[in-house]
Amino acid sequence: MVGPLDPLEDWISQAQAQLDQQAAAINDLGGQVSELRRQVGDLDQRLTKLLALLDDKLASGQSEEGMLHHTYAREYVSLVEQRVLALAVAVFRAFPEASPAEKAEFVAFTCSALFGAQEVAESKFIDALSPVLPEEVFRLAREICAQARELRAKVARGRQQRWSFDFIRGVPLDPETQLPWTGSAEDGGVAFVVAPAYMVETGTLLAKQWVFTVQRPDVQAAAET
Amino acid sequence: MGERVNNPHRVVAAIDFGTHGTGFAWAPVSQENAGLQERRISFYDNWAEQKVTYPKNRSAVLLDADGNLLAWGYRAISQMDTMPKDAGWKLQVGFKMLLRDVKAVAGTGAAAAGGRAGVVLAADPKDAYRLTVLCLEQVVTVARDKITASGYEEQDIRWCLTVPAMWLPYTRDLMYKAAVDAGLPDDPDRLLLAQEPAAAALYCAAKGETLLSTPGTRFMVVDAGGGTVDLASYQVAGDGRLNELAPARSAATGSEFINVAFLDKVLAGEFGSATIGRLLNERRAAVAGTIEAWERAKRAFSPADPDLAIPLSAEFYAALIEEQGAGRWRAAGRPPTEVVVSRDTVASLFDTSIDETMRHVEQELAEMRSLSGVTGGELVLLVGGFAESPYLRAKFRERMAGHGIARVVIPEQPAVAVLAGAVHYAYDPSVFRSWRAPCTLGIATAKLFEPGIDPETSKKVIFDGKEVCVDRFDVFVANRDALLIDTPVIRNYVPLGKNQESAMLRIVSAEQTAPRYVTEPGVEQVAEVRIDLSGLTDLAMPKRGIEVAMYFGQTHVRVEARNMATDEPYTVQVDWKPTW
Repeated sequence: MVGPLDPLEDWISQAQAQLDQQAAAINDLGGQVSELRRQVGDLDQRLTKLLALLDDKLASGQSEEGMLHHTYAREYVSLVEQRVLALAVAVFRAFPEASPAEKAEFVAFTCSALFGAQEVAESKFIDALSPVLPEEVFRLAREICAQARELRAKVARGRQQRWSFDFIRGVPLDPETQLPWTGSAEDGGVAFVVAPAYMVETGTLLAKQWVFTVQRPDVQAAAET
Repeated sequence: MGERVNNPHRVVAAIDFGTHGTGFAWAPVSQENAGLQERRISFYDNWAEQKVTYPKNRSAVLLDADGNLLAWGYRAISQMDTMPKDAGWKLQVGFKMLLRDVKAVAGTGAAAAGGRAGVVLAADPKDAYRLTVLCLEQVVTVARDKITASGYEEQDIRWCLTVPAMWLPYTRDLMYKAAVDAGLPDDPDRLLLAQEPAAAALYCAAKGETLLSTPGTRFMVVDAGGGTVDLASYQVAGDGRLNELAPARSAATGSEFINVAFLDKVLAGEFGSATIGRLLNERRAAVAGTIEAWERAKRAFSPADPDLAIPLSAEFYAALIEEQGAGRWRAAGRPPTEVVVSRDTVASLFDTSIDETMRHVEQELAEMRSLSGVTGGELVLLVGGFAESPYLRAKFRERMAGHGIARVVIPEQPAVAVLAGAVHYAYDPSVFRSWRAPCTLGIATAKLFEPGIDPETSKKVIFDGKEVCVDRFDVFVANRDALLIDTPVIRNYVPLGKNQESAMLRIVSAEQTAPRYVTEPGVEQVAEVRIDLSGLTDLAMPKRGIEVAMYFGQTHVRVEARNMATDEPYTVQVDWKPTW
């Protein structure tokens, strides 16, 4: 016997079953969403890691250790402009008529001894100083050699570094890479390197090269002397 | 999984916008970079036209006669030397120092058009904002290009801009707006402002200075830069975060002032003021080259050094030959190739600046001691480009020892301390726990009338028959109070009128610590928010309350008001007015 409420009960049962199915599907969907969130989170973390690695390899930024070379480059400039120049002033005190070119040549000779070879050429440098010079000059020269050795030991760490004496005789000074030493002829050609450039890696310049320039016809004469 | 180590950004970047120079640095956000001491920071050091690579470009812009940008940074300086005379161009420098004097933000028109041409060392204050935007735009463009070159999207970056600790909220807001106008995101979570000394302290902590995270440590940061020496002091809280201790101060005694003294006293003394004046006017680059040589010598000078020989730049030497040839500079024989400055003269140039700096340091120290109630045991951090000077270091240590301070910490690279520290700050800004209120802040409100004290003109009778004084200043925080970051100060109010359908909250500030009335001189309205109370007139008065919460964030102060009956929130950011 079918009661008047039976169709309704059937319909409720079916609806209930559908609801149960949908609830199960929602639960399942919730699980899938959680799983997707986890996967997105994983991917996000991997992407973050990958980007950090890419930044390490591709970005043109400099590490903090690499930045130390800026400090060393300043120490180098100070060594040349202060200590070596002070030595030149002490050496030429007895020769007030010395020309700017002669002073520059002395600085160039000193810098070559300090940075031109694998090691500081102290003996060669000291031996080349005239024995009639006062003892103060020799003391200063030895201090400069010690300071250059200390600096060279520091710059050997971290970024690959080199002292660049490269130049082309007679051509105008390249303002991107060179600075004129005091007494240089304006618009002249490069006669010699006074102090080398401080370079790192494959050519990044941390301190420009100092050069002495003379009027073009004088370049050859300077080379011959 | 998936969480990015306490930081929702993939990369953090900082811009140190200085009076003399500006630079940027960045750090990827990753588990490998989570540790403060192990964090890898990248610096950009390859600016166009700089004489040698260096982490900062010059904060300088070259403008044509109409105020249009021709070049910026080192390029602006080198281009200036090739500009035709009398063309009305201007090289604008030093505008950051003037930003704090700007009374109204300039429009978007051309910057600094008209006015004096040439090298404008002190920009017109009203142009300072626009010049700051112009300069920042250039830095932001380079920074964004470099950082996104390795795959990051622009929205991955959280930025941080450094500001002097002594800047008041108005100037900080101005800097924030300038940064937004320069292309940075207008989102307080993606654009932070870091106090320069706090950033430097973070850098020192990252370098292993463990005392800086030891609870109770009191320290002063002395940031000796080109233009100014900025001072700020902090105390490490129990949780290792920093509380600002004494008010920050700034002294215009930076390294540039010693350069000016060298020009005025040494060069002018040696070659005559008239010669130097002519050279400055006609061959500026010649003088600049010699000043640069002095700057390098000065930075390396130590108390034990002998007299300094400063090489004259090749251009300066050539200019002297010309002057001599024209009979304008009279000297026997060939011009010198260097100028020898006695060690006593160099020391005296330094000492003038150091004495003035020490006066400010002593004031800061006295206030630190007074506010903490403890004397002795303080630590001092000396940072900034000028801190590279062995002479400054030695003299500073000597003078601090005289005040019972045995430890002066100077990091290995003091010139990058603020920049690197700002990157650390962007990575984790929670390191800062409290700052000192720069002024008294509160709400204009009504309080029960006190006969004989309150003026009759302010008396009003409200709905329940009570007499109130309507001009009272309800202080939320008093000037110099310690403000806990993101911890609100909350007060409740009720409307004055029974049928009131809205309430206007006026947020007010004052210099004085306990203002009673909003009508007192110096009291300024800094923001206002209207609360809708319509439809609530049937409710009993206590249920029609308004809750006001004032939040003191890392960058901004914001006020949240809530209609307690409807729970409807209202938020307003305090729009600071100049306080000078």
